[in-house]
Amino acid sequence: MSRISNPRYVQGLNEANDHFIITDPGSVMLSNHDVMNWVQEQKAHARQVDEQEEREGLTGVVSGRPANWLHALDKVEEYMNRDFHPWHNNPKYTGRKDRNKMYRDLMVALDDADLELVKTELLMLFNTRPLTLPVLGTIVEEMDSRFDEEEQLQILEIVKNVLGGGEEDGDTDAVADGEDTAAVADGEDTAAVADGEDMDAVADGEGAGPVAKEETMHEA
Amino acid sequence: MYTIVTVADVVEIHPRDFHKPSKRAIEDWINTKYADKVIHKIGLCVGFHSLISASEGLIGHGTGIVNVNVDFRLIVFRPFKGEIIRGTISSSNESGIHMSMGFFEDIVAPAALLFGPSQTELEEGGSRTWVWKADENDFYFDRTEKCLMRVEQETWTDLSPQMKKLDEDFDMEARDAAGLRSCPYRLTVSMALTGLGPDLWWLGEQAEAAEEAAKAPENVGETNEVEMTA
Repeated sequence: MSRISNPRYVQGLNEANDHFIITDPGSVMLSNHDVMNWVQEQKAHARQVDEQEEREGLTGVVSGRPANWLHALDKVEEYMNRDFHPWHNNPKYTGRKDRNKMYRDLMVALDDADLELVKTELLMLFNTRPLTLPVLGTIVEEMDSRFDEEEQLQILEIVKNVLGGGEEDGDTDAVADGEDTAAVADGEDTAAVADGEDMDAVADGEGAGPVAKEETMHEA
Repeated sequence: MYTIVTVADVVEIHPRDFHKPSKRAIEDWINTKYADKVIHKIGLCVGFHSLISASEGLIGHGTGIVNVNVDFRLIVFRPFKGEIIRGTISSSNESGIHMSMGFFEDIVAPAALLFGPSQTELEEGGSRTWVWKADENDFYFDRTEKCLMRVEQETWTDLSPQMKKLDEDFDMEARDAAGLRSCPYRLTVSMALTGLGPDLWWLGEQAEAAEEAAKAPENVGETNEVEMTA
């Protein structure tokens, strides 16, 4: 039997009557992006329902929301709004109907380039969006023995193409060193993924061109 | 960092909540019980995710409370071992650094899991800061710095009354050897690999020096001793 305890105020629950059973202790991993979206939806839905009740004159009849739940949502939302997440100020993350597309695109692009990463590493790439080799090295175990430098840079390249690279969205974390100049004009841009992304940007009639350039125009 | 946990529980709907739509009553009850709380060996719950099934309500004797057997899912925070997560430095003491993620604060980076050699420096006002003395450079673990850290270990403490030892009392202010309060779920993290620790260290001119020092054999595996430097 599991036990529940509140991290802030420890109060014994009525243990004798506590019958709950964990039927699945967590086999599905969610990305931070998934959870951020979920939190936003929960809050929006709650607000909508509350407003509806107000209109129908039912405020106070259906009792308010549990305070600890609202607190949890607020705290997680606060964390997700911090500027170190890949979606912060990043045009690639707005207006996407299919949220899982970016994750799939990342997976496919790495697969096409024969760069084998395990599921947990893929999730961490998606959550942390490394832009430099040192950070990539924290995510990919034994990176130097599995991939040579060219392949490592290739991984960074793909991450930048699919998830957005930092410079164009004003990220101060973007590093202006040798790796980034490998970016724009080389063969990586013709990967199916990058083209898919560009289609959306191009729809505004900006015309075809290297990836980074389009995104800056899109930004403007 | 997050996962979906499936639970089976008996939801109690009180007569005062009978006017609520069933779904709402069940959701509210579940959120009241689980949201923002730690389930032992499972993780920190954020909230109710979805309903899988609910039985018919059975009315208990004497109270009029309707009991419903419910299967549902919760969203739970529980990073896996080896996961790289982001947080900020919230405070430091002799035994290590406390990290925070806002919604979860019980994260510790003990001295032994910081870049070697590191030591503490006593700042004005009596607070300590850990400093990584890498070759000729000093890298500071400053408060409020955003950092990457690696999850090394989870520590679960069952704080329910049943687990209370008979001769002890729960003193919530009591601290264990590491100067930490007893808490239901604690993460032990490391910041000792290239790329971990404050973001700043790995950008700009000092990045190369940091990378060199992180790999230098004389620095790897050194235990960090606590020194007081005024």
